[in-house]
Amino acid sequence: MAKNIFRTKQKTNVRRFARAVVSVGATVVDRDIAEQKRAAELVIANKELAYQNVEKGKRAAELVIANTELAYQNDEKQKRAAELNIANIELAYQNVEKEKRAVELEIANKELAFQAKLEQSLSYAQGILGTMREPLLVLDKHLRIKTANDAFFTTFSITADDTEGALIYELKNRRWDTPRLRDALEKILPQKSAFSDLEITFDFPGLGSKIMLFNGRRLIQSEVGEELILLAMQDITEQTLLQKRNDSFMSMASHELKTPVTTIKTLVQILQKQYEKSDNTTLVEYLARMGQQIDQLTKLVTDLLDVSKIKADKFELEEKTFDFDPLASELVKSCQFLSLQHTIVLQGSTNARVCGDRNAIGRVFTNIIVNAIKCSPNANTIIVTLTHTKKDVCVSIQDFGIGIAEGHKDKIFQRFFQVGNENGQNFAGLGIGLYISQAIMAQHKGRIWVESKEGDGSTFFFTLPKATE
Amino acid sequence: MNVATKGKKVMVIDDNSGILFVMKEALQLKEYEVHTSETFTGLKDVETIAPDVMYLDISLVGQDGREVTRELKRNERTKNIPIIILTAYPNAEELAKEAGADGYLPKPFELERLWEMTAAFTSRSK
Repeated sequence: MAKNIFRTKQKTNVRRFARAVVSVGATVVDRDIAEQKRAAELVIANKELAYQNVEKGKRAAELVIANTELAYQNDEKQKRAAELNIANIELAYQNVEKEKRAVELEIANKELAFQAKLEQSLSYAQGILGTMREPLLVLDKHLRIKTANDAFFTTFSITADDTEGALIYELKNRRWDTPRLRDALEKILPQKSAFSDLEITFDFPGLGSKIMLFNGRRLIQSEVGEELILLAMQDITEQTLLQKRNDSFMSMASHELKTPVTTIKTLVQILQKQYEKSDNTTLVEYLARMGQQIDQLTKLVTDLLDVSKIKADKFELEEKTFDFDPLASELVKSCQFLSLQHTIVLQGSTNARVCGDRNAIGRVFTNIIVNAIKCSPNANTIIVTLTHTKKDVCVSIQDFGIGIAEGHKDKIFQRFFQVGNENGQNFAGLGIGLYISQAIMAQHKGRIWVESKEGDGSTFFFTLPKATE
Repeated sequence: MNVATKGKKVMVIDDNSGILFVMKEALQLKEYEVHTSETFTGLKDVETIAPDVMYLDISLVGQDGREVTRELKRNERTKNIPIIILTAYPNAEELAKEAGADGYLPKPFELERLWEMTAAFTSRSK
């Protein structure tokens, strides 16, 4: 295009020059000089134009080179843009990967925290197990031993290697494989049950006979949901033997006491028979008092013997049907002789018959009334009330004595427990009357309990099922 | 005068002299002929005395009253003698049954009960 412009301008300049030659033709000389000057100028101008053309050509070439350079740079830029695009995609992928790693790290941290907590719990549990004096096992659902404490290893002279992971029945040459233990253990998980005070005697080689008391409970390890069994045991061999020796001693002692009591009692009765019509009233009265004391002694001996029988599950009673009200009436009359201070009032009736041991039920009446007399030294009335329901006869015996502290109400039926007065002194007796009374009631499927307020007296109740005719 | 009991023979074997003494005193009041012994001295002695009733303690020195009862019941000449177990053991009834005795009297006893029982058993003998 620059060339065209240049040519056009050149043509125009030639035409202007021709026209100048024509117009000034008339004048030849003067004007020749001017024309020569003009021609020289034109030559210069032409040269100048040619130079400019060359320069323009150079510029054009430079422009071509610049354009080529620009095109190259554009290509480069496009390449860079493509590379940047790839780099961006790579970065996005790496970000996703990093996020995944962050999530994984968070999970791993939680797992570590859980493991630490678990280890703390384990250490806590092992600390407790280790310090326990009683043997203890933790079993899995297949009854394999997961954990045993030191007391277990010591008690049964067994090592951890022989214990942990073993089936409980396999221990000690299968001496632990007893039907009663199997029955109790195998019910725990399916029935979600527990057992207490299961007494089993084992005969361990090298250890001899061992009497063990078992408690079993179901445990759930909540973090992992595993069902376990906690089996605690107590070696009661010594305790049982001691108890047996005590009971045996009591049985023997009471048996031995009965012989001299029999002799004295019989002698007193012979004397009473011989002197019953005597005018010697002092002798008659003394013999009567001796007789009463011997009966009291006989009762104490019998009570001691009964305690040992109750402990040995050998407390047996008769079963005969009898009218209940006459028994109550007889006992109130006979107990009235025990105290001049107290009036024993009998009220109400049951009009019922009861099946059981008349003498034993009489002992319950007597025990409670004698206690009422002893525990109400400042009162003068004891009220015996008979009532009944459709199924039971009910007796209440109320005194107005020292009463029983709240914390002692359950203990008074325990063996050898005695209620004291405000000075801490106990009343006479062995503390076995209510223990025996409770055993008698239990044998008759009856109940015995007390309602009392310290300082306001006590009311003892007992109920017995009516006889089914 | 106890016509029914007079001359009837009662034998008591108990290792306690106090018991033997009171049994003798109590039964003699009813005019029984009472023979007492601290041990079982053999079938021969029982055959000789031929009591109408025997009171026998369970715990004899070196002997068991149940074994003595069985021996007496096995012997033709003594098997019909009523034997009453006299014991301070609480399960007197069970012990008497186990021995094959005819009755039992727990210690301590009421005098009336002793007399009633003795009268009942001696009245059966000729």
